[in-house]
Amino acid sequence: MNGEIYVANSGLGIGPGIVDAISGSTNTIVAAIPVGTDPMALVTDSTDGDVYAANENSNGSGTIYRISGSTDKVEGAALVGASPVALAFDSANREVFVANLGSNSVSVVAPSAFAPPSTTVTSTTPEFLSGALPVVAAVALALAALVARRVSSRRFGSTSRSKHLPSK
Amino acid sequence: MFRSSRHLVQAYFVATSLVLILVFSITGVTRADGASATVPVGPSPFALAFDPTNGDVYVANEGSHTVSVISGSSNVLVATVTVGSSPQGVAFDAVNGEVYVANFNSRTVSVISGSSNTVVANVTVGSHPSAIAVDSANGDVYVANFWAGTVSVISGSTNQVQATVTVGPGPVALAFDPENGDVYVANVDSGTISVISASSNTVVATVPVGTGPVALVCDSANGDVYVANQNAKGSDTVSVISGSTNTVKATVTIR
Repeated sequence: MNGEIYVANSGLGIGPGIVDAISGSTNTIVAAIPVGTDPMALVTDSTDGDVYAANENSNGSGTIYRISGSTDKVEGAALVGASPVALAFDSANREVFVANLGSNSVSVVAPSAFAPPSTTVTSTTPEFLSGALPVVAAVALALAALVARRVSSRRFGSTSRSKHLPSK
Repeated sequence: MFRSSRHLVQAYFVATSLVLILVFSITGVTRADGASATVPVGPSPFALAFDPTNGDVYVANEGSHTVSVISGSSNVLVATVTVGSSPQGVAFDAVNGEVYVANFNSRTVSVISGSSNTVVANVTVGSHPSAIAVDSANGDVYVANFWAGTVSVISGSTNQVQATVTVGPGPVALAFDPENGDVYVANVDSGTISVISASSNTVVATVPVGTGPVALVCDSANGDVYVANQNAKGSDTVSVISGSTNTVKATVTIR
């Protein structure tokens, strides 16, 4: 809705994940938005252009961050189940559906459930404030494609392909 | 009089405490789990699709052979549909109102009716189908067969395979571009994007991108296609493909 493309970069379980916003007109990165560790999936709110990022924290818990499409800043975060890997947006009810791979459940998050990141985020993802650790990307575009990671990992015989990437 | 007013005060305190406890526990629940609802589904939920026609959400449980159906209005489980083994990809076809499920380990695509939430067809495709995209113009369904290196094209009207298109090694993601009617396929093992014309179901271009393309989206605003390249040995990049020329017009280095 704002003409930007969002790319999720994993923090490999140790550092902050970043969602980069690329301008569709200039094809340059216009914002690097810190989110939780290991952002695995993105979905856009088709009604207002906000972007939701699913993060898997180092302790296995999951968070969903809401990024404003107009400011490219984090507006809030919500705790969900373990290892959230996929998102869908219910445009009828304006809710985000989250597939929690690690807890065999689906979380349904309403816009009102997002707490300001200053309270929720620091308590659940200390990496959020830990500064610029090396971030090696597991990449997903808005609308997300973790399938790639998982499929690749099956073929390459590792638990998660991106986690075997060398540090940079 | 005194006695009854003391009771009144006690009752007031009890009521106030209950309200406080209630508020506290609601707040506590909210803080402990920010979700509005948590719905138990099958093992290893891996992919989701929202059906705007019936308002349901379809959940592919990769650790089993089921799809959980959640009502978007009540947020409760309304059906568990048996599909093939290890469903990984799920997509809603707005043209026929059906949901397509790629069963990674059984070489099939299950077709679920959005009106009955039952399987109406099982379609044999190539080896290890992983991702699905729908041609929003005619309702045809494109299935990336990861091990086969092919894309199966399923007619949305007959639910029969009408074409099998050879692409590059390791197709893992695909997207339909409504602007030009092409389907873009990310071949992770060859660093290329295969462009399939949806009208002829043939490859009309093979576009080299960065190492490890794993995801892509079509930008309906500018007609470009953005490809995320996950490079184990170098920089991760995003390739920008012009939808009009099917060539790379820009490469954005991510890290």
